[in-house]
Amino acid sequence: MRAALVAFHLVAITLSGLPSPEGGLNRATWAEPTVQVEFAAWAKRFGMEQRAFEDALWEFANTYNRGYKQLLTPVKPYEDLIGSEQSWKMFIAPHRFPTKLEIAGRGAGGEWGVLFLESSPTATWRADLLRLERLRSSIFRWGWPNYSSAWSKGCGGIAALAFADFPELDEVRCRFWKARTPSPEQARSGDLPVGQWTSPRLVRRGKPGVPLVVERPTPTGAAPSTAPVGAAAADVEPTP
Amino acid sequence: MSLWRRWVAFLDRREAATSLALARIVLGATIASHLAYMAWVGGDLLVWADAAYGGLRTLEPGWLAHVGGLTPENVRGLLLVTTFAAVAFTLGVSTRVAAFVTWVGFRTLADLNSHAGGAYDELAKNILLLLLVSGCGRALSFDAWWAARKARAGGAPFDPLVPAWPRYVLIFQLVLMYWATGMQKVSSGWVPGGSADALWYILQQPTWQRREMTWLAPLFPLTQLATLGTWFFEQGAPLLLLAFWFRHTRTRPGRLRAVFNRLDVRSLYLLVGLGMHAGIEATMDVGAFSWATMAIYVACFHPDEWTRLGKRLGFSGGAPRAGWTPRAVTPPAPASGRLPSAP
Repeated sequence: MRAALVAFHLVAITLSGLPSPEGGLNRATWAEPTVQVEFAAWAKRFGMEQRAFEDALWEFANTYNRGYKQLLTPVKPYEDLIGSEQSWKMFIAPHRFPTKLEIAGRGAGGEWGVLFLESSPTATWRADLLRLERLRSSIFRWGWPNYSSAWSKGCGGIAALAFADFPELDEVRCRFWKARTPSPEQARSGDLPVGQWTSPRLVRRGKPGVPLVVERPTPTGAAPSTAPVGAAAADVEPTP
Repeated sequence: MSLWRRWVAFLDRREAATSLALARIVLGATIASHLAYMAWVGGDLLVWADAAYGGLRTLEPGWLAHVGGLTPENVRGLLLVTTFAAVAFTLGVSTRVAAFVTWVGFRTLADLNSHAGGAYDELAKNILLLLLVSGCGRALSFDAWWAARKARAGGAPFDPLVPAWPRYVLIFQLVLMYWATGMQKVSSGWVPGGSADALWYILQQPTWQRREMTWLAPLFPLTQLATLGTWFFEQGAPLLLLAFWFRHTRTRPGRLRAVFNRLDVRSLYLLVGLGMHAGIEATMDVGAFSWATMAIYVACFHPDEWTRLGKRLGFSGGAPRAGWTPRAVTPPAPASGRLPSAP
């Protein structure tokens, strides 16, 4: 009995651990520049036109995924029972256009002050919290278009903390700085790629007890630059 | 002997619990410290409380719906219970109960918010499940000390041996994890013949890096080497399984077997892995992943090896008592002589 159960366990986790395209089957995500760079490289390797390569891959991935799900059907109840998932998609591809989270706040009619900016040594409000690995995991996802509504909720949650910490704030803005990661050559020469702010969210202080409303303002259209303008540059160190 | 009988005999092997106990200590301490830090900075409420109570997302409460849902009180309460259970598990106090509570609590918390977690959640849950049924409390634990004390006082005899199969399954889990992640590293930046720049770009990602890493630019060729090394290391994980098999069947003939055993491929592989995880920890913040992995690394060594190391470090290895467990006792090999030594 024990030998049979152990054998079944090994078969179940092996099937469960087989590569799966699940999570990547979203054509909106495929349009992201990071993904496009991958497709371009692979299409070149296969000697195919990129669009044709993407279509063929889409077809293959969907067919494979359907078959894979059928293969998993017998072991899925066991996996659910013991909570033994085997999704080992770890750094499967580098993100060449990563995002950097910025949280800023201002009083009525005032200037924006940067509270937090990823990697900034000065804008470090609640850094111990926002740099938690579990938060990083969420922040990483929020930079992708398919997590847009989760991003709004996330900004709302962070804004609530900011309003509690800074009674003088009337508005909190969350947004991402998105830029291509410099190549080693660019990093050496200091010729950094330009980037821009994306996915802004705005939260206004509401009445106590009333849920915060997260707005999606139109991006300001500020000129692209090589560093997050007005953020890392500003020597902001708010004191709660 | 039929293949099935050999399989049954293989799983019937027993050994001292030292390796599994070390896995218990590493994993228990990892989970306890991880959860305690989450509570310390308030991350638990942001990540696991529902958006209606100040969390980041609207979440499915699961069984917590029966006690009022994902309120801050419930989340904090569950976290504290799980943390205390993990501490008890680490110390080996009521080990099996502590393991069960830790497993249920950690599994519940980790599964609440799929946007806020990582592979270490899955790994920790998988290891916990195996340790739960392993008898890992029979060494290096309060339970073992207490049972041995009672035995010395004339109570029920204390059996320090445990089934070896949970350790074998842990090793398989490690191999599967490395191999599966390697198989999915299909980026042109990872695979041989490409730009081999995956690690360069990953290390520049603000989300995961511990500090600015553009200073690595002059060392780019080294990052390329590390990229390919990581890819081959993960793709080559089945070699670790083969190395264990060759250790297990070391008395059989075969040049490859002899080479594997002479080079001690198992230790070499684990040494490379240790270096890789040290590199990850030094440059990136990926949560408890490396520490959870180390819980399996310690289980990759036979209890006899730990006992020898313990003696060298001055721990005694005498008969049933707390501390280092007595010499591992392996059942006599079957008549066929097919199972001469434990892996």
